[in-house]
Amino acid sequence: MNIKEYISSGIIELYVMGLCSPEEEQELEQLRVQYPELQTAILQYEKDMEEKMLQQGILPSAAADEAILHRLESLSAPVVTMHNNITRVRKINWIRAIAASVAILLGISAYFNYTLYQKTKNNKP
Amino acid sequence: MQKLKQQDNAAFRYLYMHYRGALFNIILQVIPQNEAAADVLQEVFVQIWKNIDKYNEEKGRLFTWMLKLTGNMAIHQTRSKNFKVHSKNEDITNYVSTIDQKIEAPTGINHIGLRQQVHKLKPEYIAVLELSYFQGFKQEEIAEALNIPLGTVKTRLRSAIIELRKEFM
Repeated sequence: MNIKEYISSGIIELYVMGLCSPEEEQELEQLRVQYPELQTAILQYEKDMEEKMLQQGILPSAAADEAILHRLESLSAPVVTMHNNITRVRKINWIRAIAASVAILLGISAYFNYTLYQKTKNNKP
Repeated sequence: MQKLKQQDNAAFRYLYMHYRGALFNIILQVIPQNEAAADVLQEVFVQIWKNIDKYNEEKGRLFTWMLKLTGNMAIHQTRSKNFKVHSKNEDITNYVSTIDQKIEAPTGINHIGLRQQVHKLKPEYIAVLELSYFQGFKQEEIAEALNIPLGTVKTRLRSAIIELRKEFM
């Protein structure tokens, strides 16, 4: 194997970009262990590529940043999220209970109002 | 790196702040709509967080690993959104027929990026790079769709990427 030719064949670039066939990938991974110059060339290309792409970065909006960072934080703290959910559920239950009691009270009061009204109407001469 | 593997919050925050621009640009090359691309960026970082233990330092730099993951996710997103109904073979024929239009207008927005550089190359190089990198097709599928031998796809890909490296770096 002429390793210099192999290095300059474009295979490293394709490998780093993930464009090799599985066989080509396997071959390269075996060769990089045998040939230090291949290993160096791969690492160098990766480094150059990273530098270039960092220079050409396009930033997402501040709102997107915030949403994504928030999402990542929620991933690393699942216990806190669960706790929050429970408190929210409890709050909702309280609100429901109060609403139900008010409805029942209103119902009872309406009933008595109505019967009292009927009585006074009937008692009138 | 160890902090990342432990899914440390501050380490991930740093990772995001440092690499978001580069990875967002990669997504925009495939999905030129800002909001949709930001959704993919979020999903990319969630996947990085979930799969960080699978990253193998011996196989390459962290950025390279993230770059591949980002490319795959962006392509996956376009496919699941636009091409649910079609079979894979129909997809590639559609892509091939639209390559000519894409040479004129690779993305809706004028990004200075990889795709623009690709579209400055020879047409036969554009075709193989478009289909393999930006559309995620396998070499065999490209050979079949362009009706050229697999060996030719391989040679064109290698020459194309060498040209691209000269232009891009």
